Amino acid sequence: MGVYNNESEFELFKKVANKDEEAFKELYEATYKKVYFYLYRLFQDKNTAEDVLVDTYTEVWKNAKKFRGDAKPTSWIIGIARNLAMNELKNRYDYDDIDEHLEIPSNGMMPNLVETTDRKRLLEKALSSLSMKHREILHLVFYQEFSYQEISKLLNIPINTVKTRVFYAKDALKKILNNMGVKKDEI
Amino acid sequence: MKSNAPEKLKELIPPYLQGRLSDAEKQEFEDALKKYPDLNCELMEFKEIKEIYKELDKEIPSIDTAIVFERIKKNIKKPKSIIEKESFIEKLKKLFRSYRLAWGIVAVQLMIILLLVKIIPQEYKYKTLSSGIPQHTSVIKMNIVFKEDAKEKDIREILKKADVKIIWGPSPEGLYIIEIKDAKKLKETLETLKKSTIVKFVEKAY
Repeated sequence: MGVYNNESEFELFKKVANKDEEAFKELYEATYKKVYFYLYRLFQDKNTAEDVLVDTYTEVWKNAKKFRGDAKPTSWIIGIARNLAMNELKNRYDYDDIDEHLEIPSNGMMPNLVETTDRKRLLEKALSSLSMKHREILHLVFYQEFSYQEISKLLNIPINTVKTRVFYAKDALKKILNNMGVKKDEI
Repeated sequence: MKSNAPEKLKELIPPYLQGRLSDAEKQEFEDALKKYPDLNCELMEFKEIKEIYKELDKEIPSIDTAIVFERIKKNIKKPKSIIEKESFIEKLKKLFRSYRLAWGIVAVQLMIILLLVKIIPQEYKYKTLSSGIPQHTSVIKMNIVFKEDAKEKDIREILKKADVKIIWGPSPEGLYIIEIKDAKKLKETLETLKKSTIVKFVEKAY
């Protein structure tokens, strides 16, 4: 997999818009990891993340012409992935209030320290105990390294809400880790 | 040493860790770190979480990129008609699962009712034997009371035969006001109605 900067991704997009399959493959290889990681963090499930990833790149192929270049190519693709992920969640939860679902921790319970033997599993469990909203924002800040502005555009929420949510998410994770008995120096 | 760092400074932590601050902002932030212990504490917590992410992202199960790309290729090579057909079915499925459908049905029913009310000819419209307060018109009116055992079918028949229309009633006592458009027919109409076995009382109203 090659290393691509935004400029070469922009060029690839132009070619994809003209239905260049080779360029599409290159774009996929350059960006899929970030998109897949984002989806995995949302669903906490490999198969669902993979299915939505397939749909995302199908949409990228169909809509590449609509990419205006006012966002980073990866952000644009993640935007598509997010819309598809939200649709998937809506279907799954039968049009229940999706926002309400996003507030609920994915495993539905607090992690049990006794069940968790190794440190990574413990941390993974702590992350999955976060609500989807919090998991998503922490991932966007710490893995995707998106700016407040980029996150605001992606999630369609005001910048101040992004800032507040980042801090709430951080505090929520800290609280979960404390409840699990994980001390600062153990992290 | 001050106790609490301003929120504005705390908000700079994520961009600081992402290396997004300008040199001047970075310097200002690092100076503030020395001033505010709570800012330092927050920074440490963010750093720890960043470390967690770094570590755990290595643990995300990998996917077979070639297989995934083959699936994508298969999707994009699907004939347009198949894609459209599928998406239409999908849309239908979604619609039937949607709460919006219930409102949709209500809206469609409402539209059908309004259309029917608008397009059905007057003669097919259902009429009851009752009517509201009579308008002040120049037509001749009569007071009429039917016998208690009179059937609605017979009442309709006699009213039709006499060529009259109920314009008000019934009162609690069973009184109706009927109208005759043609004043010349008053006598004839009165006779017809009086002869009827179901009419208890009929007289011209004043």
